[in-house]
Amino acid sequence: MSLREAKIRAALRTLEGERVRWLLGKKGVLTTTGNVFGEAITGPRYDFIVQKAAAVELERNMLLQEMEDGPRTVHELHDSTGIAKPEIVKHIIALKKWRLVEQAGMKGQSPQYLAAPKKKQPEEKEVS
Amino acid sequence: MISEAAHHESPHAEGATKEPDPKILVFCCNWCSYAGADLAGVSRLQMPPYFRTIRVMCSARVDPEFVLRAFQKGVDGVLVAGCHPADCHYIGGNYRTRRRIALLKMLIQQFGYDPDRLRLEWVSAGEGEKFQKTIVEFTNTIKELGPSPMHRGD
Repeated sequence: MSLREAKIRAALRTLEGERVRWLLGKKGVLTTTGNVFGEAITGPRYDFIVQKAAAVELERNMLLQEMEDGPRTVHELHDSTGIAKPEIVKHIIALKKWRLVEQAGMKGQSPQYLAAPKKKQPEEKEVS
Repeated sequence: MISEAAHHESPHAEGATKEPDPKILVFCCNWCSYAGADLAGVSRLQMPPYFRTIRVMCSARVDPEFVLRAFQKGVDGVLVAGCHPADCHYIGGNYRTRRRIALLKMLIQQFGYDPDRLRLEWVSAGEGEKFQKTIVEFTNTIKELGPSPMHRGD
């Protein structure tokens, strides 16, 4: 799979993901009445937040796709995705926190990470 | 007549040009843009024959996934046409579309696509001329940008 193909697949996952969909659906509320604390944000700030969230989710999904194929070290992830190593480490910390990634072993002195098996979905969404 | 326009044989089909004809996908909202496209056809306004129209009930029906899948399958450009702001048949569908398209433009840049390959335009039922102008402009833009990076294989 080419890098572009992988990025498109990751983008599809990003758009299906809860975080981006929630943000897209909440513009009206977040920019007018505000969040549960009554804190409203401006339109440009909202755009910035959505774009940043989407960029982060895209990178995380690319890493997850790689780690679903088998255990990977940070170096291997960097080679296949082109994402900077410090960013990969930050993403792995976040993914581990959400139990989406687990450590699978060691390769030399580098830990290997593997995507946690997905919970079974009741129905798969299929768009042809 | 939209489909007629779309299915006319390409003027460059005889192999005179090196680059393949662009493939453009147009999502039209049922209530405004599709009627605008229809009007453009009835008025016999000349349009490049490189676009295919998909009618959707609202521009908000265009899931971001559809656009990405279209690019994945090798489409050179995607145009989403909807009702003018505040004219949406479903009250606020076009506002949702605007948010999604802004996000998609950022996402497609990540795969090496020019954000100009995706365009959102408001076309009402009475704006056949605007539809024709939009199609002509968009086709010219896509021709300038060249084939999709998927075809180029870079």
